[in-house]
Amino acid sequence: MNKTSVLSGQRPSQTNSGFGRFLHWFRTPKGRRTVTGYIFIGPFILGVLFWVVYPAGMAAWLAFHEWNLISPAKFVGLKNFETMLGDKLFWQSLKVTSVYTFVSVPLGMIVSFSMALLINTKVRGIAIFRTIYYLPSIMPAVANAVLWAWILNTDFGLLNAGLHFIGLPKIAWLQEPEWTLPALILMSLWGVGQAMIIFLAGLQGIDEVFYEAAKIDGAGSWAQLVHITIPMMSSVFFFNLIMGIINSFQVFTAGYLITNGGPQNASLFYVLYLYRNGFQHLKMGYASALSWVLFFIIAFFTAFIFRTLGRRVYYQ
Amino acid sequence: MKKNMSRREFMRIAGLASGASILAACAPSTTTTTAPEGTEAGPGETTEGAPAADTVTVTFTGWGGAEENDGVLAAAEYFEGENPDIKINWIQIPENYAEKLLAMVAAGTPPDTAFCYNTIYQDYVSKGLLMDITANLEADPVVGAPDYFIEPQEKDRCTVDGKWYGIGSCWVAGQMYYNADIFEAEGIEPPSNDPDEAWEWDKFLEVARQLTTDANGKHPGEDGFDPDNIERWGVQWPQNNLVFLHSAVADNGGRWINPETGLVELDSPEASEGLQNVADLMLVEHVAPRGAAFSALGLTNTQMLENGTLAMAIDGSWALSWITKINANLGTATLPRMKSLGTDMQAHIHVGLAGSENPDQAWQWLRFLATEYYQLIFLKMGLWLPSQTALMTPEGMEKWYTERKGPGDGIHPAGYDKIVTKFVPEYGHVLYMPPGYTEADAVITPALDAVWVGDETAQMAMETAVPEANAILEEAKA
Amino acid sequence: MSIETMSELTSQSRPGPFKRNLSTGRLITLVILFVGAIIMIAPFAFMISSSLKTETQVFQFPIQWIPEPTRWMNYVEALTNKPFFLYFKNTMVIVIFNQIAILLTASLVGYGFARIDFPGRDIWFAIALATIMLPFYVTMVPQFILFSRLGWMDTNLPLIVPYFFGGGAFNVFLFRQFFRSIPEDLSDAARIDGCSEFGIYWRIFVPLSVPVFITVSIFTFMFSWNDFIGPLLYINSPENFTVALGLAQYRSMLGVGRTRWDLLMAASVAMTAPIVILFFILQRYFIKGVVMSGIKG
Repeated sequence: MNKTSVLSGQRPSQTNSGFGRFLHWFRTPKGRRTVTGYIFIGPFILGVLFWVVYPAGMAAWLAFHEWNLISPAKFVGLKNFETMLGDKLFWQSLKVTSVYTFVSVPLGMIVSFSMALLINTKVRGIAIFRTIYYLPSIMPAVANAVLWAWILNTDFGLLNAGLHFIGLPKIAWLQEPEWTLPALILMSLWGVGQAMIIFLAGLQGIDEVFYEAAKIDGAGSWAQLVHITIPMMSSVFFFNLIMGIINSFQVFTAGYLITNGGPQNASLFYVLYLYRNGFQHLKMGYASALSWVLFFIIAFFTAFIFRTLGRRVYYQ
Repeated sequence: MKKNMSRREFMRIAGLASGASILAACAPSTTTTTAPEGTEAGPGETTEGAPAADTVTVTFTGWGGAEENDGVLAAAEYFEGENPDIKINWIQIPENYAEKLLAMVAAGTPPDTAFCYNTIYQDYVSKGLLMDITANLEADPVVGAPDYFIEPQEKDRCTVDGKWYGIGSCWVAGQMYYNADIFEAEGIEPPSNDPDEAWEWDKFLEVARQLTTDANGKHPGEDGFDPDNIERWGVQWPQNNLVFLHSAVADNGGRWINPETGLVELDSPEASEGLQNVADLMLVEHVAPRGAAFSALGLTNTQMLENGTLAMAIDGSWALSWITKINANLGTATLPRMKSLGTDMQAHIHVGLAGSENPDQAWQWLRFLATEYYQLIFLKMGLWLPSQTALMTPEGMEKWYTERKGPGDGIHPAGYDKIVTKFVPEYGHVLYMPPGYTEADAVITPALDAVWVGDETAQMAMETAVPEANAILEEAKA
Repeated sequence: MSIETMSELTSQSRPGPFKRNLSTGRLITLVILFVGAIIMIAPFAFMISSSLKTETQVFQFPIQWIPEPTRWMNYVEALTNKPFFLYFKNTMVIVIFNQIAILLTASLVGYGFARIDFPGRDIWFAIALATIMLPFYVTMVPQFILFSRLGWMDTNLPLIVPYFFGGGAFNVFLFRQFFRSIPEDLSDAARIDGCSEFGIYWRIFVPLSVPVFITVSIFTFMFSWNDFIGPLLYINSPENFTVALGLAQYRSMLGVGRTRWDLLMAASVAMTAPIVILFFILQRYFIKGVVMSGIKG
């Protein structure tokens, strides 16, 4: 009560005229739209401020500090980034994640595109096949990790049973460092159904006219695939590539639950290492520095792909 | 038609959702039981049922499975009966315990009392997180008595610069289990619980070879033995737990940490040879299954002991609480002697946190945890070994020791008392982890992984890893 | 149901390059299709088969695909050994709040972006798209610090409250795309009748947009049901566990000393089943959502 009267009493004319001008502006269609628009997107703006801008800024601040949550934060300049340069585990995690990404993403695209071609055939009961091919991708990550820990079991797992069936020796997938990443990549290939559906939708968006013209020119299936289907689908490839890279740089659950980074750090994914630094060693500064480096790596690759491939993409 | 369908589906989902929310609302709220502190401080406000004027809540965090959970709850009930003015609020955090505990401290809501790993105890002390209980302990006529605990081990693990910040919960140690039926069938004399009769390492290897058989019934070392097709393993020595690795190091006369310098000493000849012996069981002798993740991913040693695919297992004394349930004749023994018989002995420590607002009540609870009543609960299950001298005397042991006659009938296999009264207290080595060890371990463990698969010898691996680990420890000290 | 919806894509489809009359090529395609289906379904079969075995049957080689005897009790044991119904209840509380939060705020924000023309809109929309690309892990550490300072540790709040602020840029995007496809005339007519912007949203757009609400609702359910890192960071005590956290910790908590793959598989099946059932009921919306997210991006 008191406060408001003091406030309004302070500079009455100013407030009045300001408010008046606002009211006037508000009565114009543009003013109304502006106010309504911001009311509608207001929650989102607040959300960006609370959950993106503030944390990202704090991460940037923390990246130049040392802080274990308990003793006061200490400014250390660039030390966290210097530590990173000499940190073997950092480089190992970067290596693991890069290998995983640059093998699993292209492979995943080849597999999902091939599957999309397959399930685009006109056969009776194709819907059943589509369902079967898509279903693995909706498996909850934790259940998936538990299942694959069992599938990859050396003695009783499904994968080695499959190898045995075609006459190959058993592989200690999760004990031998050189086999761990291939095992996890295999696991990721099982769940490419989302990309497959996107490819399938893309395939069905291609106008039949192109194929008919090609047939008149005598082009075979392969020529049609290479000269029509793939070029026409370039925007879909592009989208799947970018999303694939962004997602696979953030792989966490499998490395955490199945192998816990091992053996010999063969599955020490970047975000797992980040998690350990932040929440097991409580090095909040170092973890924040790692998170910003992750951001720049992803931003770099995204920008790189946009620059090199983005221009060649055909948009229908 | 389709539109109608979808709308109907939508309504159904909505109906389900609201139904579930009503269910959720009716269910007893869980948050009220873990009411945060701050409300309890008001002196006149404690109107909750209890006749006592001022009830103080002491929070207690710990990990553990169902057995620990039940044990703690039972103990808390008993304690509350004796101390009507104190209420124990048990918060079980089964995983990522250390991180979650620190997060609670950081958030300004530390528990009053907690379990503390032996590996991070000194780290917590150095960070000033723990309550100094020296005065309380020394003034106490019972738990402060000079011969109350097994010494010098208790003092060794609990004191930092002569001050007490916690009290050990109990002791546990590395030991051997075996399937006695297999020994009987093979006509081999099983190993003993008496450290005076412990097998020499060579004798152990010989028996392990005899007990390991491939699909054709051949043993390691024989012509045509197929190490890829083994039907029964002689032994399993786990590598995924510090206890068994430290046991091997101690058994060979080495040390994990030098207590004077607080630095890792695994590059010493004794220590690395001890570790190499464990690796050689798999890599050279073919008497133990390979694979660091063996127990985490396939059958456990318990399951293998039971179905006869494993003859001997090195495991913790705590594992008795479940191994004792197997459907087979069970035996226990000391570890075999490498260079100088030894095993790892350790256990979690009960601590009070420095930020506690009720230090006196917290102490009361800590003190209770160090009394017979609490320790007996877990001794009876076979989960713990005593740390109190009174529970090691013949009369004391009668309170908890039960001879195992079969699965579910008694807990402790014949002769196990020798493990309790002789092997562990006389040959057990307490391991002190200096501040910053968790991070140093991130260097040691992967280096050891390379040893278990035979990529490097223990000596080579430790010569590169130990200096790196020590650099981390030096930095943590500074 | 399944055939109707999955074949819907076919009905609008034109034959692709593989649709030729070459019978050998077609045969090969069919064989590959079939082998692929076996590979894709094998892990599910392995999971279900293992979930119905006894502890010893699980450790048999070669694999016994149809367990004899079939042990249905595994499901009872797996779901009662740990209080899975409590975990389910905890998860559903989060799911319901997330549904309310996201369906309400994301659609409002999506409407603002789609149908109101105001200065700065395009910049904000660009920001929204950019936040889709921002890795969760960049803000994980500070968010954790923030929530722990707020005293929200070991509560559902960190898993619920943030979604009341816009409901996630991806969902906003889905709503915006859908709303943009609704004819302008409808809004204009309503405006002439004196309907407020919120009135238009509520009376016209919401009823017309049931499909996108269902799609977003499915995504929300899947996200909340599957989320692991969130509960891992913020939930401490077993009485507050979600299903995902419960299953993840099952491995170390259940039957100490014995790895019970039979029970683990039963619990995994139990966690997967709701999603699969939801998929079969609402398949068209699943597919539509995936396609929308891919093509129009």
